[in-house]
Amino acid sequence: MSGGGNKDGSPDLTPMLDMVFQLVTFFMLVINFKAASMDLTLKLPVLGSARPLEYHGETEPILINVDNTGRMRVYGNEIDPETFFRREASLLRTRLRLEGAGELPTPVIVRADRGVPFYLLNTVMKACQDQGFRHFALSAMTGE
Amino acid sequence: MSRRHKKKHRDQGDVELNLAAMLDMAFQLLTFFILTFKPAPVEGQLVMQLPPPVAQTNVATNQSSSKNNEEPPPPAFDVVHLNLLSDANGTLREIQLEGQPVMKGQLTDAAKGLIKSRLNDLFGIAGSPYSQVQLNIERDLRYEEMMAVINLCMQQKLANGENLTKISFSELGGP
Repeated sequence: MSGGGNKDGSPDLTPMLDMVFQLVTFFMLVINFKAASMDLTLKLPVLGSARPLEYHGETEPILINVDNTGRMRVYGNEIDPETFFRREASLLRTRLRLEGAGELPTPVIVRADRGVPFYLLNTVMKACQDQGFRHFALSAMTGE
Repeated sequence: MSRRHKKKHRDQGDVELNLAAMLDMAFQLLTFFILTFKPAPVEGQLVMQLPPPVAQTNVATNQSSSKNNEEPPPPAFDVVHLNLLSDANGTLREIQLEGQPVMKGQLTDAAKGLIKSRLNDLFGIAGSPYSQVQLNIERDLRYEEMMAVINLCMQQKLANGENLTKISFSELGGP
């Protein structure tokens, strides 16, 4: 009965290759590119009733991170909310061929640290409202 | 004496495949995916609809959140006003419903139950005209305190059975 090796004594690499492909397939399936848009240093408030946003529109939701110091970031880049939303609204209206200053279908998701004071969030919300972003979501952890 | 040259025939079933190179590439890929693996935090969202940027007038105080010095619009009768007051640390200290104090101090479970019941008295009755909430919040109130109150509001059902999603915000004492 032959063992796992070849006749000349070199090891059979087939099972190892098989396992490696299993692992590669696993990591390919669980890779999450959306984590790049989230500032993972923020401590979100905990709300058991928060549910993941279900949105299947044409455009990706805009995700904005607000930290304790008042810095607002989108994909790691610090932004001024009014300038940013004005530009995004203009681009979206061009892309979606929307005329006038009507409502935009793209949701805005705010991830803010639990200690952020309201007036900082209010600047974001006002900037959204002024530019036509009506669909709004506030993020929270579902558990600690 | 003739020699028959025996040709060496390879056995038909003998195909040698060098797996070392393929295994090497597979390990490279595996290393890449392991290094880039970052489990996403379990997060959810409270989804709401912001109204258009029209000033809402607080019926009780006749304050307008309008930016310009224009005449305040007539009061919106489908809006319930909740004032959230905070202390210097950003902790919630009082909640007022239409200008009347409903709760003082920490937002305990009993206080949450009371607020839910008061909101239900306004939104949940048949024929209720109310469909949205305006939260007038002091500037220093922390996000987590605010979220707890928003959560309570969003658990409300309107008279038509739909969930309350229309929530507007303004800064108490702000422009």
